Amino acid sequence: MTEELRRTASPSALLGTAGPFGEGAPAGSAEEIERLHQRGRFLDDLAGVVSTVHHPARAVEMMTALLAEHVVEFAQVVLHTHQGWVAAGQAAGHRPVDSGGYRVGRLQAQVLTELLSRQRPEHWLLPPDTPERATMLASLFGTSELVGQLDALDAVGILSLPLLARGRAIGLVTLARGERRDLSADDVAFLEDAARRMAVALDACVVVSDNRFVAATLRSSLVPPPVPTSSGLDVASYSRVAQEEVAVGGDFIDVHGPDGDKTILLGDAVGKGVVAAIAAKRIRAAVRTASLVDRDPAWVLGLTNKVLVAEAESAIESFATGVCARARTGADGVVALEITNAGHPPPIILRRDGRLEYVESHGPALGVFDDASYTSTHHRLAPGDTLVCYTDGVTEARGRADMFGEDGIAAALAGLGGAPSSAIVERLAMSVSAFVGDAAHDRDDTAIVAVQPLATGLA
Amino acid sequence: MTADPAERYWAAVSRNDTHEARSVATSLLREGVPMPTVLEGLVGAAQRRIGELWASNDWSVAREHAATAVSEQVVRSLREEQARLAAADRSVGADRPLLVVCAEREWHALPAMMLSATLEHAGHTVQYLGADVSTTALQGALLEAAPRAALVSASLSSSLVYVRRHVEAATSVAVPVVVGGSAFDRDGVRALRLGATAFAASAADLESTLAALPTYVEPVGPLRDDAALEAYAIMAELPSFSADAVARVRSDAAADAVAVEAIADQVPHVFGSVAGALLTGDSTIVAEITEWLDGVGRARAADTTTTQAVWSAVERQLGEFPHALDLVRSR
Repeated sequence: MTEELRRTASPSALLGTAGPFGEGAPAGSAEEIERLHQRGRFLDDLAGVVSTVHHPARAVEMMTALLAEHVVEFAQVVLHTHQGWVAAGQAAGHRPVDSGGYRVGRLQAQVLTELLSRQRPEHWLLPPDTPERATMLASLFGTSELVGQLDALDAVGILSLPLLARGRAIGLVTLARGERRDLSADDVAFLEDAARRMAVALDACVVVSDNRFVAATLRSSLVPPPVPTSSGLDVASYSRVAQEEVAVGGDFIDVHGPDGDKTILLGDAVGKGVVAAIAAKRIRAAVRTASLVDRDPAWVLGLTNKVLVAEAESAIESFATGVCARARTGADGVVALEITNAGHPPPIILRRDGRLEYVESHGPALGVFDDASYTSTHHRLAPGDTLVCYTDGVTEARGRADMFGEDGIAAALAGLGGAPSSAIVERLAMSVSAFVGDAAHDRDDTAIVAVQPLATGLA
Repeated sequence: MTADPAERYWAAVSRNDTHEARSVATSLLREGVPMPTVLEGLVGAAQRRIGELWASNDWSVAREHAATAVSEQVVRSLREEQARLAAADRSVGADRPLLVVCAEREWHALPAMMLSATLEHAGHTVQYLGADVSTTALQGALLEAAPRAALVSASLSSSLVYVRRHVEAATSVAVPVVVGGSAFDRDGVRALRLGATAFAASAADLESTLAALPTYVEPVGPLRDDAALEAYAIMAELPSFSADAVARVRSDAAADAVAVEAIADQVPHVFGSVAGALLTGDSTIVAEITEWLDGVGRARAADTTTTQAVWSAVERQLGEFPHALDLVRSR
């Protein structure tokens, strides 16, 4: 490619040349007083947005609307984030073009990126009714409705200001006035100050958004997958985390395996929040990997234990408890269960007639002893029978004077023999929640899973 | 198979047959019956019957729960089915979602699920968070999803205090809040007093309500009047107030044990409703709960001394709360 070609291909070459700023309104004129009043309103409202809105797209939209309402006749704000461009624009008297429908195109992105890298204000005079004008507007506003809105305003000049925060440009605000007026030097000084305030606030929004994105990604990787009806099982689960601010915790539920032969895993990794969630993810992965080799739950938890012990830098870091159950559906609709317990509260089988049976299967907790070995117990779930596994967030839920305990479970499940899994899970979760009250500071991670043969009609 | 779908649906729900209930409902949807009609004709009708059967003491709470769980599974399947049917002819909406949540401690998820299905039928993008959504969880969703509006569902008047928390949470980040559900009065007085941006009186006028919502709203700050402070103090003491009041009802009431337990079970709800009445300044809440409690007692052949025992036990706990006592005594 020749030097000549490269220069014309440069996006900024599409934007033409800068021109001088116009005069402001005469000092003391009614127009100037109105302008100062509007700027005051803008700064007040901007302070409100900065303190309340922490979502990048919403902040961009609200700032755009404030600029177009109080300060200029046209404004576009674009923000570059790890998840792509966020953009909104609005001309006074027109409907906002918001981030819901406004996608930054490829050419437009190139121009914006180059303008960001320059980190300085730019001022362009818009040539009237020429192909150059169309190219220029397309470079800045893509194929959005903003081009038409700007034409309708009869704008003659465009100001672009970088949004600078912590030493780099994170976005760009583009402004214009209507009715053949251009921005004055006084306007520009005010808008540069406004852009500084906006940049700091938007930068904080991006930090919040990035953190939420990390937690949300981790969270969605821990959600138990939906169990199709073809599996032959009716599975319902509930989980609530102690650290709701990050919305992840150490309790985990997983269901996997082929139809008719499912592995159900419920466990509790030590700690709370993100650290515990990462440990939970590791245990889930180890159990899934082991299950590909052999689906015997005692063997699966044995191998998982070895992985945890081998990988742990300290015993406390890898400590976890869990229940692993293999559920095989027979031709008669009865599910044969093998259950292995690694230091976890005992699962319950709620029989269709309402009887409760505790599954007395015991083994050491995971991640402590290298040579731990596990056994499993065998059970049968007829239609209407339900296996209920839960974490100690249920039994050790603290009420006014005592803990929820096994009595709490028995009371919650009374009369629910033969009810669908979701009714059983919900009733138990609800009872724990009512027992704890609003004392959220004592809350532990809580998880419940219920499994029963898929009923096709109980007479 | 010639039987009326509503009757077949009811038969399936009443014997916990999720499979059959699901099949009746999804076949109607596939035959082209609109979602709101399926929801109202099958699920809504069944839920009213379930409520009546519990109130009249024909069904236990556990049976009511089990049957409701069937309807919940059905609505979940209907939403999935609708998404499948719509996927073919609808472009993926880039629209901001509508966030549908239940108030914290509000476990009646079905109305919010039905609302989600209805909104999706009308072409809205919905993020449904389920029952018992804490204020922190709501705040997280507001940060992540940046919804057009938050729709808060509450079925019980004891949830009104928690509705207010959601109103404060959403408006603090400028998001409009629409409230609705059987916890509210028809005229929307309670919704207004709770600071909601709008009140959804019925599914029918929801579209016009949504269309009229502002894009941004002013923050609704915490309430500081005496009645509201009493309401918050009562909620903070709820587990201990309830435990003490229940113990008193058990020792004072003369009716048979089953009836006493059914009525004593309602004690936390009674305290929560008094708090809701304090917050909204709406004394009809206390009148409603009185009438309802009497109904529960009558159906269980308890004489009025049992419900009377509840109110005197409640009054005892409310000794330090003059506004609450006024409400309870003038019921």
